[in-house]
Amino acid sequence: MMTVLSRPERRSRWLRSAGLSAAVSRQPNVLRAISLLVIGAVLLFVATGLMGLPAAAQGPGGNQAGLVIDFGDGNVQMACVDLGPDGQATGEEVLAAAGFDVLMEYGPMGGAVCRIDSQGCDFPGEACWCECLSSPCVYWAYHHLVDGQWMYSTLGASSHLLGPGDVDGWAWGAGTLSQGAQPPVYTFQDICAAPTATPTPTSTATAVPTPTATMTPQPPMATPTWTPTRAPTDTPWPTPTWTAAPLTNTPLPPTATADGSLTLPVTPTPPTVAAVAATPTPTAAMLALAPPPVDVEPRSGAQQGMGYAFLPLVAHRVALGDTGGESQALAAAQPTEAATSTASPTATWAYGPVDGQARSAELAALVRSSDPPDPPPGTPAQEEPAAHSQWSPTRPPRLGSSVVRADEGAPAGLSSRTHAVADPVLPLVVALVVAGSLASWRLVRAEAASKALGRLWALRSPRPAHGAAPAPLTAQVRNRQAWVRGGASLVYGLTAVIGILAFLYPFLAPALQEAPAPRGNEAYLLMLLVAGLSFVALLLEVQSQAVNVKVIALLGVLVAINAVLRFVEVGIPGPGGFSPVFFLIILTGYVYGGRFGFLMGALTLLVSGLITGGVGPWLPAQMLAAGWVGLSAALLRLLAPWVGARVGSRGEIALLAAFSGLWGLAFGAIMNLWFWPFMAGPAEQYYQAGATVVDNVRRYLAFYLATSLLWDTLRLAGNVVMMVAFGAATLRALRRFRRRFDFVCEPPAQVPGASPRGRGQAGTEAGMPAGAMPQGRALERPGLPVEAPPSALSLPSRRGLL
Amino acid sequence: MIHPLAWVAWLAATAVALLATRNPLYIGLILLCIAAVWHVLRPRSKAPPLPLSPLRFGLLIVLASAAFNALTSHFGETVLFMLPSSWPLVGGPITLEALAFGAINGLVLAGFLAAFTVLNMALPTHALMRLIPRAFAPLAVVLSIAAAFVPATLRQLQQVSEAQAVRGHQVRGVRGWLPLAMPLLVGGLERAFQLAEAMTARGFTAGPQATPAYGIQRQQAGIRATAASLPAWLPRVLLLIGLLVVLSGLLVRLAWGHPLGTGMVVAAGALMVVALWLAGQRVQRTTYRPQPWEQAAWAVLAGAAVVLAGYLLPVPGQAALYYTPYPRIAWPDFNAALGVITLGLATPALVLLLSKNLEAS
Repeated sequence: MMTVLSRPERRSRWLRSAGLSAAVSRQPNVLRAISLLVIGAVLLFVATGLMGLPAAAQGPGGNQAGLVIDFGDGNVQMACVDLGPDGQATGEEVLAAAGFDVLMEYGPMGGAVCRIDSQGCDFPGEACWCECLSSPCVYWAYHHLVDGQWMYSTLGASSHLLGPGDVDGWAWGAGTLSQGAQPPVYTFQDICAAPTATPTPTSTATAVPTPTATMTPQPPMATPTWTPTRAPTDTPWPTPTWTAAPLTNTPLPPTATADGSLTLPVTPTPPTVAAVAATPTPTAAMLALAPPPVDVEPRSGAQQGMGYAFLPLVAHRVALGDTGGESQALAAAQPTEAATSTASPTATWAYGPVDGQARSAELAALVRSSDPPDPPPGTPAQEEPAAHSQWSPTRPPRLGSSVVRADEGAPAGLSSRTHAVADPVLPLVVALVVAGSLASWRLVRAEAASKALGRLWALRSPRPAHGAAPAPLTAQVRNRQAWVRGGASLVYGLTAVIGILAFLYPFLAPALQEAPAPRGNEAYLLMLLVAGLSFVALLLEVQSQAVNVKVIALLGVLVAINAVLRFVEVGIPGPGGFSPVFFLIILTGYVYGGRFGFLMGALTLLVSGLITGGVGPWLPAQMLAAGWVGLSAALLRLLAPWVGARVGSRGEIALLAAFSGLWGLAFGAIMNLWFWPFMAGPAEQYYQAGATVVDNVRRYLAFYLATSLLWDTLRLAGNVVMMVAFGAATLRALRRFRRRFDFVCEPPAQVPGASPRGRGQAGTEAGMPAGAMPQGRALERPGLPVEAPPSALSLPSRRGLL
Repeated sequence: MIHPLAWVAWLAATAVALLATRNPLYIGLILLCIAAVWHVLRPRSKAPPLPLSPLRFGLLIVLASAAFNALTSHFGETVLFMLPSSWPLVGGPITLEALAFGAINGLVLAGFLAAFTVLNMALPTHALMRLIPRAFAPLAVVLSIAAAFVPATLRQLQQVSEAQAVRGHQVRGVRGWLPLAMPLLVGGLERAFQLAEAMTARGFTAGPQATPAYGIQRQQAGIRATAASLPAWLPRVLLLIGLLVVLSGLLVRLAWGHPLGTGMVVAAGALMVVALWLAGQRVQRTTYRPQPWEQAAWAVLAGAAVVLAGYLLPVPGQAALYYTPYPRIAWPDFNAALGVITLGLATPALVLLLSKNLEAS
């Protein structure tokens, strides 16, 4: 804290330290210190982050995961799904990316699969567990392949993360909660033979009669990237386009689709495509028929080569069973119905613009390795055009934030990334929070020190005594002060970020929940530890910066008054969550500055807890939240001029009332967050692991509305009423005493060798190295008050008295 | 009287034990231990009576938690009844397992509350305040001022209300409190003013860097003297580094799910504890009538240590601690050795009983 500078100079220093002045180059100042430390933090973060990355980036078979679906009627389908650049996807994403039509019900425990393609329960129409209402319970059982065996999944599809090389299995059949029907076992190698993996020449040859000849010149091969959701799909699906060619289990006639009356920009070359992906014609037809012309412009070869990497989720699938054809054929035969029911028939599979030959070889190998009832090798497996084309319109809106993102490199529609945490979004958010909290804190600091209790914090008057000019600070002292203040700002910013992260932990921590530890409480303990550490650091920093005799006395007495209010509240329980303590916390923060408000909030709850026997595990969180109430109240001083609320006006009271009402709700929400995951226990019950942040927030809101809104509304109302009733009078009293506390202690006239400046700093600069003390200090009697002896204590000016 | 630090050790052991198990048998044992201590303490406690008896309060928590979990979580095989699935959040099967899970959660929470209730009973306010780390000396002064002023403020409130009543004031509506609240506030601020002057007059200096008196300084030796002689900025720098590491660890754990993050947070916590200790060494604390560390304290500490070791170290039979009612409820396992270890939490009750008998004889 500045002690000897004159007011104008102080202000200019504050401005400068707030980054508002350009003249920052003279001495090492706060900005430099902060930027240094922030850079250090970022480096640390990046370094530690890089350590964690490689594990996710690599795996067997590129970035692919397998999927086996047993429809329970002999129809078994497999799909190989590309997981995108970060090599992670939830089971739900994988299902969707593989192009299955999935209906899910999202309840408090996450998503349950009701229907895959045509098998299952039509959820909104009937119960999701429609076949499970009596014994035997038939449902879609979810498995993971572990060491060549199916393991019943304890997590839901939206909670389980697949990495490269993982295989998920779904089977429709009777089961219980601990075991379910199992699909046939296929290993990852069975499903996703790598593109380079030994294509058997014969099958390729048979399967792909003339693949490359027709294929490679076709740039539109890149067009699987037709994104269903992006297309305005109001126009009904034109009926004449398809014939039900896929009905037959024979290789597709090339002309199956192209004989519609439409002019197709791409003449499909069915055999090729069929061999490649077993879904040739629909793709092409859809492409051609989709109302907006999708991305069909030719690409350069380089683009094609790279396109694969751009596609976040690339899936190719093949049907293995032989019985599924009927329903699919039915659906295909009546495309109009399919179209009208779903509004936009979509090609849910997307092929990267990879080399068609390699892919076809891969698929041929895949088909060949499948089970006996399959079509002979090389026969293009039957396709399910319509059945899968009705997937997308229903799905995306249901999942809050499964944004279908189209990369520039390839406008593929299947990159639904619900994993917010693994996204690069998180570091961005964190960086924003860091910057925002730093900036806001700087404002608070500048404001609090220059206007509110500027001279209360300082031991000595900034005005030079007896008209003497202030002695200029030495460069060394300034240097040190800059470091001290820079460090303080960083502590405030860091603790704010850490505190916010800790409170938001339940929303952000799906990674932790993915594999529940036996003890299961790690997330909770970590959160407690982190919040406690940041709170202790913040308390220490505020204390070392802000405390002198006047502050101690004032704070002590005000805390006592507030604790008595709380005492009264405990004795006579008020309505709901109402508590009278917030009133004084907000007003002191507003009048005396953020640090005072912080200490006021934290210590009020501590003292009342000590007195009323209310010490408990909730106390640290309560103290932190109440401290934030007081800290943030100082921001109102910045806001007040903006909204035209003059000192002592009604607008000021209205602003304060609105602010305290807001905190009435927010305090409850924060305190809920603190115990919410704990109440829920370690299980993935309330805060859904693996779900998106938005999803979690939505769920928490439901929880909040159901359990705490009424309670907190009473707190809101109580705060507003108190502020309206007592606000003006209390403000006047607090302001009057702010002026009265603004007294000056003058040092004894002449103590030989004792520099008044030095002593002043000794009392204020908490972080100063011991060696920085001026020499005059040695002559002082130990234990001498840093403030002036009583004889020199000038009486408070009475001008402030009303 | 048992030393406050021994009580803290007991509290830590109880909390760890409660967090480490979800086996209702062990939770029940822990609750029994807490109840025993509470029972022995109650006659001699000077703590204000609680508005609701702990037993009823605990029961309320267990019931509420069980109902809440049963309604909102629909796992489990033993379906009691079904709610229409169209109802948001609560719709679906209501299972016995979810009910049991919620009840276990409620038991843990009630155990926490009970343990802290016992602590509040066992330790008077001044003993609790003595537990504040030395690094927070200025705040401890604020706290002791506040605690000392609370009875004074209550008295003042009474005086003000009597004075206003003599003037014929009656509290009608919210604004009727204003004539009571304002004199209280202004009077309190006047007191603060006088207090600040008085403290200044008596040579009080705030801040950890106050020059220590010579006499006390001479008594220092060894590692404490070394710590006190370290530069004053060192604790703050350590604190900053600790915070940076905490943030990095948190991000590592959050963004990548790497277990290294937890280790970083724990290491940063240790660093910050060191920083706090260093900062505390710069403050002299004198104790009027120090609390002796007696055999009773040793016994309580030993009990707590046994429990901590049994629950945290890899002890055979520890698997019994883990229990989940899902998917089908079953009777929990019980390991007798662990049960005996858990009884270590009842040491304070034993010690207090023995000392009571000694006093009686």
